Amino acid sequence: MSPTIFLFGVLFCLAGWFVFSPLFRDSQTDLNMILDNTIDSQKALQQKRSELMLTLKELDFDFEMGKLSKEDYVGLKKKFEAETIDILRQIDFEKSSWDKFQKQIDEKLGTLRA
Amino acid sequence: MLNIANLGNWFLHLSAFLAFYAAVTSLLGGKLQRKDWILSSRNALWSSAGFVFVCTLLLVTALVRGDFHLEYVFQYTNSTMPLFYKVAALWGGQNGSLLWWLTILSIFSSVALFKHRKTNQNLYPYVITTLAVVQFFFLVLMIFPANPFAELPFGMFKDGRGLNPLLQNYYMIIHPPSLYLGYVGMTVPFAFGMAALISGKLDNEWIMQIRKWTLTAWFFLSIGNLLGASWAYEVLGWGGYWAWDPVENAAFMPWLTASAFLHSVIIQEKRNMLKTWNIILVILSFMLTLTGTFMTRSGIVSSVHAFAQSDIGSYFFVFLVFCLVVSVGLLIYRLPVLKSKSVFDSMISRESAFLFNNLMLVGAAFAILWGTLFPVLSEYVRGVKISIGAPYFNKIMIPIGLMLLLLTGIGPMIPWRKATPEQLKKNFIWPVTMSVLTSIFVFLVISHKPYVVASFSFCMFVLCTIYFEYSRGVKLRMKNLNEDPGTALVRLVSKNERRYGGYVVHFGVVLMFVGFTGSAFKVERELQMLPKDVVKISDYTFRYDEAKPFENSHKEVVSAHFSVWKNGEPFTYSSPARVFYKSQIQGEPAQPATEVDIKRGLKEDLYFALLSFEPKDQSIFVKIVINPLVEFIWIGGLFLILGTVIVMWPKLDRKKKA
Repeated sequence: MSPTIFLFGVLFCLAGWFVFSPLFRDSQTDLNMILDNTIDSQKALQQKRSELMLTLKELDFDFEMGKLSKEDYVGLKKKFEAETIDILRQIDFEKSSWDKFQKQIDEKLGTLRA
Repeated sequence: MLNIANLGNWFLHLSAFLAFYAAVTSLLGGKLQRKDWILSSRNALWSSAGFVFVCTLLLVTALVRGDFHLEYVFQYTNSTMPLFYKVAALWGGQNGSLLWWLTILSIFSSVALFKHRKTNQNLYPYVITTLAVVQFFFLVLMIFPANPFAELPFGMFKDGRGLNPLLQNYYMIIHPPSLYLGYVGMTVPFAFGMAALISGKLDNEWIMQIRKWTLTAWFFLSIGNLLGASWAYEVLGWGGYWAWDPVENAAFMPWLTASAFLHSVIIQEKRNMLKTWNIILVILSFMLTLTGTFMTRSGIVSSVHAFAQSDIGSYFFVFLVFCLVVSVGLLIYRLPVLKSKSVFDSMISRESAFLFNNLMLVGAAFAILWGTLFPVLSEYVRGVKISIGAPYFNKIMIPIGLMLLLLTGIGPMIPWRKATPEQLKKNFIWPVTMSVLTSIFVFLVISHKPYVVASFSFCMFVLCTIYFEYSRGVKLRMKNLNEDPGTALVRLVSKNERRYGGYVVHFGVVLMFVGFTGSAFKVERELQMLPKDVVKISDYTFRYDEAKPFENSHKEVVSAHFSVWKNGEPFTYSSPARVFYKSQIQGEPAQPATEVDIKRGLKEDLYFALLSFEPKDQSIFVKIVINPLVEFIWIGGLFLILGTVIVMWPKLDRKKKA
């Protein structure tokens, strides 16, 4: 066997294993996607919260620099604060749902083990 | 011994199959919510990228080793070239540069898939799909019309033709890679944009993910364009830095649309507006990188940069149409979701200024696209090729550029939503006063040309706004937090690097405009001179002393020597040269190139290019250019890069705190 064919063969087999191995792992089902999406949505909410906090800080800074009128400052501040509260509520809600979900899984596992 | 041609071809085929598999499996995996399929598709795209990388290593090995039975190696290297030019020959020709393009795409794809492997799971499968489709297209190009591993049909030559002499320059090592990083980098934002459209998750999440990717691509495009301008200035010998050449335009257009996106994304983040516009900009930036590549590669336009006419034009055209149909189709399908609930409160607000800036940038991109494609379209429609040169582009771009410069100053100084007359007065009184004083000074002392007056006046306006932004911020920190000026400045920037880094970019842009305006005072002469001839241009006196030819195995060089006086005082010496690179193939003519000599100065550059030499009487034909303020362009470019680095700087402190 020539070294060219040997090298190609080895890399071909390695790639084949790497590509198809996820298909043969157990229980890579919809549940994983749901879990991922939940984690994903929590992360997105946290990110939105950070961005809003930063926006509020910038707003204060702009007002102090004299770039915003008091009327606009108050209006915008109220708007961004309301959005932040809404995000914080969503984070709390998702966290409690997640905790409940985990509790249910633990109970189910406990029952199965028993 | 390894057969590089066979191995390269096999890996290209395998890589193409894996990219195709990744595209199909990820799309299905996303639709059917099958994580195992998505993981498999991701691994397939990583493997495909790995094989592309191996192909690049194989071609570099062949170039360095001198495997002249490969057509590409024969065309672009020879045994006398230094090692780094042999490696740089990878992107010196059509097929190799496409492989290089694909390699960068593979790296970007792999890094993007790794970075986002645990986030954005809604978008992730479709990001894979889009990246895999683009990768598959380039692999098809490699396999069929632009195969870098194609062998010569008539055996092996002892030596190769070598790289074009114009490309044997240190810029060749850095300019194409940075430009390609910019071009290819636009694929990742496009992939996220397409993923958002396919999945229907069109909130602000995808925008936040791609801002840094777009900024990275924009950063490299900026560097690439600056290096290209600098290369043209130092090497091509025509005395300028930007000729509105189709290939220069091709790199400039996506830069404009990406600049527009980087501004409009702020409006989506702050006001939840312009969602459709942002998607359009992302699609447009990617399509323009493809269009630019299509123009360069197909041979449809004439340019010093363009590659020879080839079949790949039709492949590119089909892919362009495919991308356009799919992306516009998806955009129309998702339009109801993209409609924004927020509206503009006033025409005098920061969001309006950003929108005007966007319209100007996109308008500029389309004006350039029209000017670049017009000769091709006129030839297609009327059978006559009407060439459009620099006058058209200058006529269109100078007013647009000046408007953009003005908006660079206006935007940051007006508040979101609505500005009151009191605020406008307070924020603009000093910048406007300084700007008016500058325009009066320029008009009375320097020039009556309206564009020159406007440009210097707007530059002063923007400089004042930047100064006030910094000084007010620093004063506020000093007052509220009891900081000293140095600490206040550093913390001001580090607490909001996006805003204050952006101002550094704006400062760079102002300096560049100063440099562009200098071209209004450019003095240019092409002269035939005999030894000891003396000529006076502006404040300078030039004497052609003598010409000295010399030769080695690689090249023949003739250099002309000048003595220069300024206002009667000895000033400098100059030695521009004409070089003839010998071909290593017997019977092939030597390839000429110009080695210009530039005496740089902040006020003006003295530029010498030897155009021809007559050995009989030692007469020369020389171009002498006095280029005022041109150095400001390169200094401005450095500030632009510095500002972008500040904006992109990782927020380590905040991450640690989090």
